[in-house]
Amino acid sequence: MRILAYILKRLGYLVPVLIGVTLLVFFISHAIPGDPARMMAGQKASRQAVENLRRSMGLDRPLPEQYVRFLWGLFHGDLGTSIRNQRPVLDDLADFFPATLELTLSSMILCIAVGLPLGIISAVRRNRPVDHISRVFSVFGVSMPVFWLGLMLLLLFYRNLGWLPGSGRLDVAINPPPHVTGLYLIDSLLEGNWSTFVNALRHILLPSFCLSYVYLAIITRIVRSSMISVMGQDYITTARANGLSESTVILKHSLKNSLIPTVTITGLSIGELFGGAILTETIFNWPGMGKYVVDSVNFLDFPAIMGFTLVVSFAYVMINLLVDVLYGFLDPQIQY
Amino acid sequence: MASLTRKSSISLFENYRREHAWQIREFLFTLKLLSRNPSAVAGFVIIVSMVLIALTAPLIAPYNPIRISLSERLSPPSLVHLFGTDEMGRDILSRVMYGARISLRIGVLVIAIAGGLGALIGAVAGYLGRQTDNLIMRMMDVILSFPPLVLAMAMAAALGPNLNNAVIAVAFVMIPKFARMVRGEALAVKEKQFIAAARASGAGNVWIILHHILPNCFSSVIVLATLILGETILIAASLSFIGLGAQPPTPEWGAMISVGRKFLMDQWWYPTFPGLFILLTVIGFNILGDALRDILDPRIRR
Repeated sequence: MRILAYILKRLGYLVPVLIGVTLLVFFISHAIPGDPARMMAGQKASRQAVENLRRSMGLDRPLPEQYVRFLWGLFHGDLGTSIRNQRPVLDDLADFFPATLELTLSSMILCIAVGLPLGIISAVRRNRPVDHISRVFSVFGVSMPVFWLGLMLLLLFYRNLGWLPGSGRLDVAINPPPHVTGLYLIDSLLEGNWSTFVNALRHILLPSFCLSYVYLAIITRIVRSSMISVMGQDYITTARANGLSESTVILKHSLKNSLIPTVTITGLSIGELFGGAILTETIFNWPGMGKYVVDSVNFLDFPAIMGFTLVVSFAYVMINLLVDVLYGFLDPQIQY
Repeated sequence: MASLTRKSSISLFENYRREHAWQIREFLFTLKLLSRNPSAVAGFVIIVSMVLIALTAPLIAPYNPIRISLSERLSPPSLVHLFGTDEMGRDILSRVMYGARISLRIGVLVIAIAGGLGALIGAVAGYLGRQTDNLIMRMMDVILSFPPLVLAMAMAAALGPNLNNAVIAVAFVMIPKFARMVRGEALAVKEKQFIAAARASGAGNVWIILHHILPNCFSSVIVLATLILGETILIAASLSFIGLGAQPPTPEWGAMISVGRKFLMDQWWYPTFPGLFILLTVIGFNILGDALRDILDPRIRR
């Protein structure tokens, strides 16, 4: 019950932030120089045509009124119409969303599956060769231009070794599995089609490693440093003195208590994965929201860019809320 | 007369040394710790080399970075062109060297704008407190509700694709990082006695913020700036890569990779070398920044 009250309270705090987010996006798309009507009409349109379009788009109204209309549209799921293909932006984003979700989820799994053990090993074998290697690995991670890493992966695994495919979600010859969740890996398993599953898995390996490397590095770092600080505590010495096995000390006593900062960073990373997806999807020709928005940038398709920005930031805010709620389950000391 | 001025300037210097003896000792101690820290030294060496390359590019670059030589187009790395040439026959090594000028300038500009504005905003929020603080920090929260690259992309797209707008967009995204930190410091500094003394002797809010709060936050701003510079260069290069920053023929690293990408399969050297330089520069800033933070953190120090 308490947790429910806390969630409601946090949702209450969320309202001003979300209003702020819509205000900022509105400000960026309407108040900054540049003329949406002119963009929409194209460079060759006559002055009269632009003027008409401006009136029909409501751009001749005062800014506050425009903002209210914009909000009203949002509440009805109206993110505007794409200039490129004249479709509602929300429909476009919904089409591309599953691909991005599949990519970010698999990257997240990779982050945790590799980052957690690597951080623990690093902390336990502090200042030994393993630790040095993992620290170098994480310095490279946080300094890596994602788009360049993607190109280098393509060069090595696709061009030189020929081990993995270099673009898309499936080979062209293979039909996508029937749409259930939109995630090919899960849908193909549901269908029981093993070869489609393997093909989808081979396609997702490179992009998801590329996308996860930065956050993998960050998570390794955080796990390492929080494990080190927990392992210096007196109760760890006590546990050892009581004759508990080293694995119990590390996994039960140290790891559990160093999870809070790890969860925070992991939560933040999920949100940022959407940002990284912009670059990764472009490199690997992955048909998700990120590639959609870069294509939109090249067309200066503003409604699409702003729609993407809004959706991603809403998701980002929600994930952070979820992380805060998760704390309570991890650490019973935290009272809501 | 001349000797008098000289004498007084010497005594001024002596006075400064005596009054700030403690700070000077701390500073020298920090330098000593840094010079003993191998990764700090490595980072420092990388950054100094990049700055030197940027400053002397016109002297040391073997070719003119925009000289077109179609007969040599897309030639692989060789003794004539160490990093090969691009689709116009331009020398990639020379372009990468000139690229250092652009990337470092972007980094420094962004940090100067974001650091200056962010520190001012944070100091005002922290010092004035109450409603002002609340309002300002909620505004910062809004900016932090976007993944950095996404917001920078939206702003740069709205402002129009060119280098200056990319700088503005990245700086805008970075402001809350500085504001948050300086606000925290300002909250601590404003309780100090010398602030009460300044107020008692009639100093106004503006004076106190400019002359007492901000100078006391300076060293943390510098550390944060070093830490963030790497990220800044990465975001700016990413914007150029998706076509929103520097526009190609400009020898900017991200823009070069953006074009070079099309030649990856057959001319691997084209996108490879600019990216290597981004990686190296960012590593330099990251390891120096990490070491600096560890050394200046009193809990880990010594």
